[in-house]
Amino acid sequence: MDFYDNNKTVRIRNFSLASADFIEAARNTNVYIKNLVQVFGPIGFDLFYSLGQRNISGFIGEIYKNFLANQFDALCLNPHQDGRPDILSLDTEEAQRYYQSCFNHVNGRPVPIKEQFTPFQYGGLEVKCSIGSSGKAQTARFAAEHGHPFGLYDSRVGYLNGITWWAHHSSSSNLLGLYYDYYAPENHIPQIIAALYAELTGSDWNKVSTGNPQNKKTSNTSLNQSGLSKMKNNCLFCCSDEDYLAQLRTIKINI
Amino acid sequence: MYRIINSSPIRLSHMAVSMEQVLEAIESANHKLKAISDYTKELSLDIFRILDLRTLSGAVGETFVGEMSRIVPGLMKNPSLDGYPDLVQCAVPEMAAYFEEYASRDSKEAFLFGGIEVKNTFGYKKTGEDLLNGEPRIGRINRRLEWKAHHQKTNHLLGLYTDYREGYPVIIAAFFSDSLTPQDWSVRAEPKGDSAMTSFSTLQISGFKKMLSGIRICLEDPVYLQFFHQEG
Repeated sequence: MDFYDNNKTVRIRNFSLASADFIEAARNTNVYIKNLVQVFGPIGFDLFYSLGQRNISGFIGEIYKNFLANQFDALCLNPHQDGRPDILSLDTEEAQRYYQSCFNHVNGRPVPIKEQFTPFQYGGLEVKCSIGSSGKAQTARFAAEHGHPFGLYDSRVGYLNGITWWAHHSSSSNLLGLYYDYYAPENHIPQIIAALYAELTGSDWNKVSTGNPQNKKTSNTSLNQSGLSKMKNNCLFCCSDEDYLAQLRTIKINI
Repeated sequence: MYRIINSSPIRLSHMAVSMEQVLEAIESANHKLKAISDYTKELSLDIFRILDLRTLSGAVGETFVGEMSRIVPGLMKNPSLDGYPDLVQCAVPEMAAYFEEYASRDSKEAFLFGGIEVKNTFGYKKTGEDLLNGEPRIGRINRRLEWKAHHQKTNHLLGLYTDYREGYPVIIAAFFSDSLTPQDWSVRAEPKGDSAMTSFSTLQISGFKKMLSGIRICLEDPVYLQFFHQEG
């Protein structure tokens, strides 16, 4: 897959990343996913079936975060499973010292202190991943043309009417929104297609739907029009295949 | 090194599976899991550190099922992803013929001639325990292991228990019971609207007791043997 580089710069506090850096992480992620399929195939384990559609986005985001953070000494994955942001900016000695102080030592193991990492006071980058959304018309057209509704490994390109990213809270400030699809030229395995970025405020999110501990429902919210507009006007890179360029333009992403 | 605690074979209507075969499948599956972990580490990211525990547990079970199918003649991996049981009995030509037909229609129905259902668990963390990714969980999990199934009819259950050792997922012990009843399983819980889970029911204390008394194989390590009351 070739990428179209929009030559953008992302600043997280005093640390800058070029869109080419994000492309490198996307390439590494896509190659890694291809390799995973080859590893699990011989043992008959369908990784993506097992993950299920709802978890695949998070799984791809998780891989991407690892590759991006590993490219820079100043970036570090949030060590707490519920921490935010996902990638921490440790670009100053002060931030690094603070980070070191955010662990309890229990039985000789450094255990991250949840309160210090939710959120981490020096910020960083939140990474979300989405396959996009289809309206009733697009869903019906797909079913009519393919004889079945959207399923695992079905490319959605040509059938999207929008894209958004979901979060558990409305305080994300530096959001990297990844878009992926089941990429037909690679046997329909999921591959990252594009990335968008914006600095968001609390007013860029819809009202948070609260969680329910009785049924493990977590709180969630999605970007509102102002948040989406910021994201769509700052595409870092996208797959250069004509059908994807056309699709992204159709949903008003400024390429 | 493993200890075969009870060498009674798993008996199906037309065949038997020896504990030596189960042990071979465990060791082979462990070897494969380690190879996958090492391979992905070479790609700079250990897959087993980013998979959630539910999916990893499924991967362990699938790997073991694949090895059983390879090692035990007449036992085949269910060709349907949603099929029951996981390992189906194809010991005689009639069964093999049915298997071909069953596979051709990607059936979700139970396989007519039965077999063995395989479920794996890492155990559930005790409340308040801090468990870091990839750490051994023994000592920090509840004593009752909870295997989950898609329905209460599940029987002929080969239950695996897996833990992390030196950062790798390792199948530690195998249990078997062919006397489970629907009452040994909780009523099937339907997933909530936003849940990624499929419907499932959980083995209750009565079922766990049957499985624990049916322990067949355990790693030769006092920590685990003690956990399963097999010390000495």
